[in-house]
Parts: sequence; structure tokens; C-alpha cells
Amino acid sequence: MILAALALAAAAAAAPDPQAPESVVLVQVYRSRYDWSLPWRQEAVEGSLGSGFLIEGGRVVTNAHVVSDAREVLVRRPDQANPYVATVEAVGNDCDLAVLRVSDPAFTRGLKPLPLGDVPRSGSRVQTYGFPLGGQDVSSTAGIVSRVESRGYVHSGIDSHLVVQTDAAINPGNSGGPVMQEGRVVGVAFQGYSGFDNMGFFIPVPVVRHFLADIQDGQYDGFPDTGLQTTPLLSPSYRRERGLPEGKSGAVVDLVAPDGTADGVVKPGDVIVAVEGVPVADDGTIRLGDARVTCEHLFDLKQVGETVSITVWRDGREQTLTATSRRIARLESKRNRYGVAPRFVVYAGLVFMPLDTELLKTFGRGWPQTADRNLVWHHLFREAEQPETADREVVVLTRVLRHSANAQMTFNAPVVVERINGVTLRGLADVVSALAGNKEQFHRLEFEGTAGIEALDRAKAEAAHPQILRQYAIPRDRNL
Amino acid sequence: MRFPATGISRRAGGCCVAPPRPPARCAEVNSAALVVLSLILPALVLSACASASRPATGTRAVPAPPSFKDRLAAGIVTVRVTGQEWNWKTPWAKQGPWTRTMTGLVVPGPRILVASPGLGNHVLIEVQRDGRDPRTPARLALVDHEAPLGLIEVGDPAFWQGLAPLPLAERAPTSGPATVHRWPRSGQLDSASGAVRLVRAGRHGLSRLSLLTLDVTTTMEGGGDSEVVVAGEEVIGLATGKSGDQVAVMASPALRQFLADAAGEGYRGFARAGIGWQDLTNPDLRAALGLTSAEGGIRLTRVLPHGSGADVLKPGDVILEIAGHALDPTGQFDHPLYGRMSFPLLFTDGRQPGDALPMKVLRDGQRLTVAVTLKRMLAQDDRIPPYVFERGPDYAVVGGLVFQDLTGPYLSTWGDWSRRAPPRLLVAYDREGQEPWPERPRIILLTSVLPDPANLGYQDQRDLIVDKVNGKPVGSMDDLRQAFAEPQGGFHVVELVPGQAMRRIVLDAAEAQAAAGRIRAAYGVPAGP
Repeated sequence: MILAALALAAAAAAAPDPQAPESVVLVQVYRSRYDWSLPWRQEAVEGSLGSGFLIEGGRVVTNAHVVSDAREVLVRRPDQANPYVATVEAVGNDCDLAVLRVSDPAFTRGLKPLPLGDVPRSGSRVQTYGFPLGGQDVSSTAGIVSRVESRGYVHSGIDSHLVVQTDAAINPGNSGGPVMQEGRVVGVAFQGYSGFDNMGFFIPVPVVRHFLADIQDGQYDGFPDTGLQTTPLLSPSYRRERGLPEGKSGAVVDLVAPDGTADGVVKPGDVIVAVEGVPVADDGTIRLGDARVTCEHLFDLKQVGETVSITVWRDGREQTLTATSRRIARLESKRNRYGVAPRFVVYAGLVFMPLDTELLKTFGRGWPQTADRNLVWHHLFREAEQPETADREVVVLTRVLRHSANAQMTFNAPVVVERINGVTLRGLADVVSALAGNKEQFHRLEFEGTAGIEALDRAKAEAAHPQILRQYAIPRDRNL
Repeated sequence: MRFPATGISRRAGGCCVAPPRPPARCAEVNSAALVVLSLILPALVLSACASASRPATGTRAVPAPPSFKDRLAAGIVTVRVTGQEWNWKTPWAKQGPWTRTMTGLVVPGPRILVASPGLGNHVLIEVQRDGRDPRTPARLALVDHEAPLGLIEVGDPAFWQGLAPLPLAERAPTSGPATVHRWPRSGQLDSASGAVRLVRAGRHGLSRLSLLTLDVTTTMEGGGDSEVVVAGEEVIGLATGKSGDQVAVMASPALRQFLADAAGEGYRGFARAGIGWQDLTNPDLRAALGLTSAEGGIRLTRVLPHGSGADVLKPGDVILEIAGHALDPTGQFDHPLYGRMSFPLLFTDGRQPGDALPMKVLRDGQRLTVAVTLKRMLAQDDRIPPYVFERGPDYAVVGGLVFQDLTGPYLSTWGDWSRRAPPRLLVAYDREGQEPWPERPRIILLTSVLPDPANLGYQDQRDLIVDKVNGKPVGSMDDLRQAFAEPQGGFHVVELVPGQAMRRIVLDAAEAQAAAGRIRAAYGVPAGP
């Protein structure tokens, strides 16, 4: 059984795409990541390899994760020995795509940009090109399109878009390389799952086109966020309770997050029966070619600022509503972060940081269970339970760099800081103003819940501050 | 613990509520302590007389006083407890039974005193003497899981022949040699040598009480099942736990207090503070609060409304003195007998619920004297009871949806629960678990779904916190049952706390009712809830 399957796969791989592209390049990156546990610090440089391909405009498309935190990016043509220095022109961490540019005109000489195709059909054959494990020449693997689906993009951790699953081998180093069909790019290889060796994923063209269109104005806005949490209407009872007539289908809206596309347009309890006129099934999916994907895909096709039509079943009738595609800025704190330095304030050895995913990740992979439960509540549950507080940036006192001026404080970091010198903190910047505005003998810190309070002699703290920065090798005391 | 976990202990934290800390046996004896002594002494004397006279009945010779070893053997028995836990994942079923052997101390009454959390969920108690059969059936006369301590009665008078209580030390030694005793199956008393390392305020089993505790090193293998610890021919305590080569021993003054309480009318139990606090070691904070350098004190960060002093103390108060004992900035005081002890011991040591505990506090710059009335706080008073004994899960099955209140035993079904249970439930435990909410005394969960056509579409939902049912807030299983009695327009609508996998579940009320028998049969749920 297993052997037969392997034999089939080998047979499928035996017929290469006749139009092997020459415009696939090796992307060589030297990166330096930030350290969220010591937020003023960058980690040692590390090198990594990926793939990319030339598109029109002399640009190279690759994955965001290939070039994230890059300090130097080199691209090399397989037919040449010397690499070219490239710059990162745009990065979309929410769709794991990036565009590079090489200023040296020699780079593109003789190369043809690869044209973009369309979403391939399930069962059709595709061929990947790239540099798995680096290497001199382009490596090619072949396979079939296993399915088209909506799936999480692991790079950002929270975004989900269209993906194509293939059995063509996609390995480390393939990332950013093109997946081709009939001479056209049908996707960008980007992720796999350990333990599922015969399953790779590529980013299909609609997502790539969205990214390229987005950056045309020189700025990446990102995919819009609907802000909708929906539940499949797979329960006949629930459908009846919503009064949905026979022949109508859709997903019921549980929550509408503030500031998303649906905010102020869609209401909890609405049933989304169509998006852009495309009917939505009871499980929240739409038909896309011969695949079923979540209706989020239709929202994904819009750029921020574009309108989208949403048909809902509400109060016993169908209503078509128009919404403007919006992006929820605060969701950045929920994503894995790349290319941005951690924000922090150090004052007299007290390290303040805003609560975000990267901070929670310093508690280890199991942070939803193992991190401080107040932090977890704020990060994962507060907005849904208390939507009026959605915009609050939670300030965490993450650690104390011990010095005689602060060493006798007794709280257990990390703690959520509620107030400093009587000022209720709405964000990290308030830490600076609340400390600077104090003329009393003591700075007073109030922690959330039952974590208590602390005080710090202002004169001693001011004197200790520069010493602590020096002793602990902190180049600057803030990054707001 | 060798028996299935029936509860969970709270994580140790810097400012946990009523953490294990100090007791003070008040030198300025309060009336309760005097009562204790006057009750217990005559009882001991009477019972000692009875046992001394017994050997004389069979012989004319003047009996030599029994050796201490014989007296030990006559004062220590074996207690076998068979128990059974409910299965909190399928709450209508019980798990396989367990049997645990522990040591009992003969006390006046006569009864048998046991210090162990293993008395919870018992179905059968048997006692043995001399480490040998026969086993005599016995019953639990009194149990205080918050200690945890239990008194066992044996109906058969023959069992008591030749047994006599050992003296319980009035005060615990702070150092020196000690021996640890139990009956193994061999029929010879197992006596291990050891030494008292230190005296402290400690917690035992699943309790949150602070009781006088000894740490005793011992060569005994295993242990921690209520073995009798002796020094200088007096019992100084019962072992409740073992780690490494050391047993934690509930000290005799706490045992004496329990026995005196149990002998009187209406058991009062032990009090708990029900407060959270922070140390005040930071001189800047002390100065900012207006404390003088001569003062100590700890600052309250939380006052539970069902705890001692809820009406008197306030978060932010600095407790300077309790019953005349000055607290240092870490909450330690000078115990006249045992040295530095953490202050929660003052809530239990020589005092009982209902007693007044005078305190000096600093509040808003004023130094006040207040009197706290001590209160007993039971596990079921917590919004999420950390342990549950003698009852199974309270559950309801409606249309295949299984509902249950959130408890420690339910969380412990995840094994290493604090790393494995669903994050929202862990958040509930830490943030909402102790604070009572009168309108919502419990957190009600949709724990699982028993798949059936009546609940099509919801099969994968589990461990969701319920907010409302049919428009009515749900804060107890009774609320839930009442709310399900009134469907809305033919539907049951379950609203879940937002931020979880699902917000709303709708069932057809008639379908759910029609499916009830079918679901019970398919999943082996007995008729009932």
C-alpha cells in the first residue's frame, strides 16, 4: 500500500515542466533578531537561505519569513557566481510575502520576469523551483495540487488566507520559490508541517496579487480585518431559531470586533448569507472553482478602503449592506513580530513593556497555559469580554534590574501596571509622562488586581538610572 | 498522594490568600484555649484509668507498669480507607475504588484520630490493631477536610480492649530527637528514628489553613499517612506528608485543639484569614506609606468578603500588630514558644471561629485598633471549590449538552492541569476562583456534548463557560435547571461567555426533550438530572 503510493509519486515526478524557469534566484540573508526578554538587545547574526523569483518591474518576490529581520540580503542568479545586494522593498507579514529590488541593472539582464497565472485546479500538476538546502542550481520538484483551502499562515501566527496544498516536495530553502503550471506562476512555496512530509503549501496567486497591488503606492497596508467571529449554522434548530427559510444558508455572527470592516454594519445574530453576491454555505464557506474555502477569502480580495457588499439575514429578511474594508491596527500586538524593535521603557532598573504576543512567547511555547494568567486574560479574552477596553494597551512591568535603589521591592514580575503616580496608564508612553510629571518624593506604582503597590524614592531613582543603564549595558532607556 | 486526586492546591505565589505561614500560640491565653485544656485533661485521665485497670482483671499479680513500647502499641492502630472518586469527565459515573492504609491515634472517647486528606470520598473504613487482622468496621464520626483531620468511631467494644490513648504533648518541641510509628503488615510496630528540624506554620493536604507544623527527618520508608510522631514519651503530632527524608507533621497543639473542639457542642473548626498581602520590605514604600522605622507590618492587597475581618479590614490596610504581636515587614512575629512564625498562624493557634482577634492597623495615615471576628472558610465557599468531597459532580444533560460547575476535581482531570487545562478555565481559576459572587456563586460549564441529531452542529464544543440560558444569567446548577424549564419560543438558547469558540447554542426544546431517553441509553447516563 505504502510502496504503491511511493511508486505513483515517483512516476508523477518523472515528467518535468518543459519550461524550467531561469528567473528563480537564491536569496541569502543575514539577520539579527530582537530579544523580547531583554528588549534593548539584538541577537547574534545568523545566516539563512531561501528562494525568490523575478517578476515585472525588475523585482524579486520571496517570502516575508525569508527576509524578516534581515540586515543584509543577497540574491544570486543560478547562472552566475557573484551575488547582488538587494534591498527589501516591501514586506507583508500577514501574507508571508516580500518584494526585493536589486539596484545593479546587470542583475536582470537576460532574465525574463515570470508571469502570474491563476488558482490551479485540484489534481492538476505543478512544479516547484527553488534552492532547498541552498546549492548552486535551481532544484525542481513536481506533484499535483492536492487541494485549495483556507489555512493559517504560521509566519504571523494569527492570519488565515487561501493556500494550496501539494504533494510536490517543499523543504527549507524552497521558501519564496515559484510553483509553476504551464509556464506561469501559480503560487509561492511557503510552509509545511513537521511530521507531514508529503504535504507542502504554497501561497496562491490571489494573495500574491493582493500584496503586489497593495504596495503599488509604496506602502503596505495589509489585508483588511473583518472583525467577525462567526459560527457555522450546522444546527437545524439554530437555523430555525434565526428564521432562515429553506434554501437560504449562511454563518451566524457571534461577535463584531471594534474597528474591523464589519463594525457598525453587521450585528451579532445576523446570518451572513452572501458576500459580494456569492452565497455562503452553512459552514461559512463559498465555492471557489472546485474547492470550498471560507468566505473570508472574498473579504481578502479587497484592499483597505475598498467597499465590500455583505448580505445578511436579519429580522426575518435579507438585507444587503455595504462596508468599507478596514484593518484593525491593534491586532499587530497579537501577531508574531518581525523587523520591529521591541518597545520598552527602562527606569531605575524597572523594565516596562506593552503586552503583546512576543512578550508572552518569552514564557515558552505553552504560554497560554504557563504565562501569568492576568496577562493571558488581557491578551486573549479581555477584548471579547469588555469590548469598550479594546484600545487599551496593557503595560507590564516585566523585570527589575537589581540595584540598591530598587532591590528591596517585593512584587513578582511580570505584573500589569495600572497606575503610576496616580496616572492611569493607557499605553507605554504614559509611563514616561507619569514618571516625568511627578514632583513628589516618591514614585508610586499600583499594580493590577491583588499584586499590590510599590514606591521608589525619586531622587535615588534618578541617581541610579544612569548607573543601571551602564551596568546592565543598556544603550538607550526607551523605545516608545 | 497515592489515591486519585480529588482536588488541587493553589500555586504558591508571593501574595496568595492565607498562605501557609505562622501561628502564634498566645501566651496571653484566651478563654478558648483555657476551655480546651480543661476539657481534654479530665478525658485523658479517665481513659488512662480505665486502661490501667484492665490488665488487673485477669491476674492477681500486681502488674508492672507497661513499657513505653507497649503503651505505643496500645495507642496506635491501622486505618484502612476504601474510597471511590467520581469521574468528573463523565460525571454520572464513578471510577475504580482505591484503598489506602493510614495510621490512627487512639484518643479519649475512645475514638481514633487521623490526619489525612484520604478520608474524603470514603465508602468503607476498617480498623486493625497490632498490625493484624481481624479488621473491624468503623465509621467516620467527624471530619474537617480543611485541617484535614478526622475522628473515627468503632462500635465493637472488643476492639478497644487493651487500647489506651497516648499523651498528646501540650507544646511541640522545636528540636531534638523524635520517632515515627506505624503498623506495617508484619505485626511489629515500625518505629523509625528522626529529629525535629523546625517548627513552622504549615498547610496540610489540600487545606488552606495555617496550622502549627513540625518538619521531622526520618529514616522511615514512605510515610505521610498519619504516622504517629513521638518525642519524650509524648505524641508530638501526626505526619501528613513526606518529601525526601522528611515528614511534615501536624503538631500536637493543633490536634489537641481539634479534639477539644470535637468533644464540645457543635464543632467550630479552624479559622482562616481570607486575605492577600504584600511584604513591606522596601524602605521607600514604607516611607511612602508613612511607617516609622520602628514599625513592621504587611499591607493587605485583598480581603475576601467571606473571610475573617471582611467587615473590618480593607485592602491597603497595613497590619502592624495582631493580638499584641508586632509583625515584621514579611509578616513574621515572635511566637513566645516557637520563635519566628508567619502571622496566619495567629488565626488558628489557640483560637477558633467566632473569637475576636484584635489588630492594630495603619489606614489612611491613622493607627487604629480593630477587632476581627474569626471565620471558618470552607472549600465550597470558593467560587471554584478547590476540592470536593462526599458528593459527585452536580451535572445536567439537556439535549446531549453536558453542564457542570467548575471545580478543582474537574480541572484535575487534565492531570498536570495547570499546564494542560484550557486557558480560559485557568484564567477563571486564578482570577475568579476565590472571590464569591453572590448572584453567581458558581462558574457553570458546558463540559461536553453527547452527539445526537438533537445537537447537530455542536458536537465538538467543550469546556465553555456559560453566561446565560434562555435569557437568564446562570450562576449555579439550580439557575441552569430553572432556566432550561422556560424555553424561549420553543428553543433553548445557551449564551456562552464571549471570546470562546462559540457564543451561542440553540436547541429545539421539544427535540431536546424527545432525545433525552435516547441519549441516556446511548451514553449510559442514568436517569436523574
